[in-house]
Amino acid sequence: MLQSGKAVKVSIYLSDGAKHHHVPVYSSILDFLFHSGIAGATVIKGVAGFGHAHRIHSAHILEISDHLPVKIEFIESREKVDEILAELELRAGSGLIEIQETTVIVPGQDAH
Amino acid sequence: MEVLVVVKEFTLNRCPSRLAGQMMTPDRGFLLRSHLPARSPSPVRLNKETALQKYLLIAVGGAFGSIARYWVGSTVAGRMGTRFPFGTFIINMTACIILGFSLTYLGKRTGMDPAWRFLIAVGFIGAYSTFSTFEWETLSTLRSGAFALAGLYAAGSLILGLAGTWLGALLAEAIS
Repeated sequence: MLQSGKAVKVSIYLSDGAKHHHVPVYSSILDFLFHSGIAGATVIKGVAGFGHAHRIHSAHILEISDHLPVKIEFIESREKVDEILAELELRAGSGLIEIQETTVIVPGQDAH
Repeated sequence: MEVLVVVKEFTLNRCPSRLAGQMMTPDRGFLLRSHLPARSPSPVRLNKETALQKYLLIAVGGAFGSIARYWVGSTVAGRMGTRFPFGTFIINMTACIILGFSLTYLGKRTGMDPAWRFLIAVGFIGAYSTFSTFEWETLSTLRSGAFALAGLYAAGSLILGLAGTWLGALLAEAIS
């Protein structure tokens, strides 16, 4: 259960169309987060970007509008993130995982 | 006073096949041409074989054209960035020049195999050039708020495309 106070934000940068065992990577990770009891997660699709393959993509240009960026963001306690990190790395494949220390205010909870 | 009765007879369905090619003017009827020799059947009679050849030529040209479009488009986008749809612009400009050239070149000659027309003009250039992608990119640019850029792209493509077609035609005439 996510408490107000110190937490960790994890961002995973993926590419639309990437697959993990024939399943889209972002949905594989999202399902895993959901079933691991993570407090919440958001999937955001980008309009343009480039990654480790150093190939640029843009929604505006047809020939390169494949594999647009997809970002999964979630915030949880450090302990919880440490638990699931190994499995996350496995599922993310060539995606980048960023872990950031942060502070959260959870609505409806007493601070401290 | 003699009354001349002209019998209008539309006999296309009933007359023998030899006369089927005769031109029938609606107001004069069949009878007035009966003293003239029958017209020969139209030379452009497509039997199954030539129709298939035509479609095959279009398909082969089209396959190369669409693949070339994708390759040029993605390469140019990778090199020149995403701020302006350079890829489609270059594709459509070059397609205009090539089409202007090939149709003028073929048009000024007799005895050229019609296969060239189907392979290159209809097939290759038809698949290589793209109007829909051009309009999609204009819409996309408008949606992102870059109105001036969208206008420049649309007007530029239209005007320079016309100029390119004309340039291709000029080149073909120059080498004829």
